[in-house]
Amino acid sequence: MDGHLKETEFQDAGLTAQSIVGEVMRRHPATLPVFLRRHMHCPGCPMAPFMTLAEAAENYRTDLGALLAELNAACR
Amino acid sequence: MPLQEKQLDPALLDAVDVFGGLDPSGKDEALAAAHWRKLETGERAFEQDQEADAFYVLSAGRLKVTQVTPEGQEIIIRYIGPKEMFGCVAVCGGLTYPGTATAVTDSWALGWTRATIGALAQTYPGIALNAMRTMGGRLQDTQSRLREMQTERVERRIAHGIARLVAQAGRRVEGGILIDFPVSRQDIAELTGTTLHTVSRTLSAWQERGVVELGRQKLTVRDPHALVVIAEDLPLKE
Repeated sequence: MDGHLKETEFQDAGLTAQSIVGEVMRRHPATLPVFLRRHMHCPGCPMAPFMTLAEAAENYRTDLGALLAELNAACR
Repeated sequence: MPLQEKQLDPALLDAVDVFGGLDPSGKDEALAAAHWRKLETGERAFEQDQEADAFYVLSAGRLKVTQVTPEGQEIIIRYIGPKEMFGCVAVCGGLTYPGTATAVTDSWALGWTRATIGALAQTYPGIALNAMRTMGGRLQDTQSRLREMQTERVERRIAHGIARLVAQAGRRVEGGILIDFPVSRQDIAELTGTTLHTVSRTLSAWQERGVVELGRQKLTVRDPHALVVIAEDLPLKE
């Protein structure tokens, strides 16, 4: 999981299903409104450093593809 | 459907606890002493803290009884349907109404002033006994609701405590987050200010639901999202 983030560090955000929610929010604060708009309680959540975007999408019954697209768009 | 003028069901009082066991002449007397109130949707039969001058039996329609908290939040105490009593506090010596009764559909109610019901109860002491029984039933409802709320509060505290441990010492493992130091039920009880018994009971229930897994001095959060839902009292999505 850490490897993934290192790999994409210098690219376009490149967030994927396996990106860690806490890392995503820490590195790209512009993504916070995306979670809030989708009524996802990830910002401030103690579990965020342990969960992937895929797991978050599943927990909130939200479409992973759409979530990833919005998050990546927010980073640009 | 517009309400008929005074929808009086002659059997209305038969179904009302407070007049239970009253003989037919007593029921006639009670009906004769009553007054009708029509309540349009949104109209209030009475308001919280207003002097409790009458109690009512709903004949048709539906009411909600609400209270406003000191913070200004409105909470619904109960809904009242046909043949149910409301404003009972007026029979039992309460000085003010504890809540506001608002019609949620056009409604008709039969009302008795405090003086009227007092006079009736002199003649028919059964009325006072019935009123006590009704209030006793509602008190029991209230107490079980209070117990539920206390339980919820303790569960939320325990969930918060475990979430804090996760934030401090969580380690991602296959199928969950392990709290990466030896932690006992007693530790969690102390962390959350509750008893060992309560922690054991709560964690066993969560283990059954697949939220956590307990080993010896080892705690794994199997469903981190479910734990956060409990801790934060999040609305559940279906």
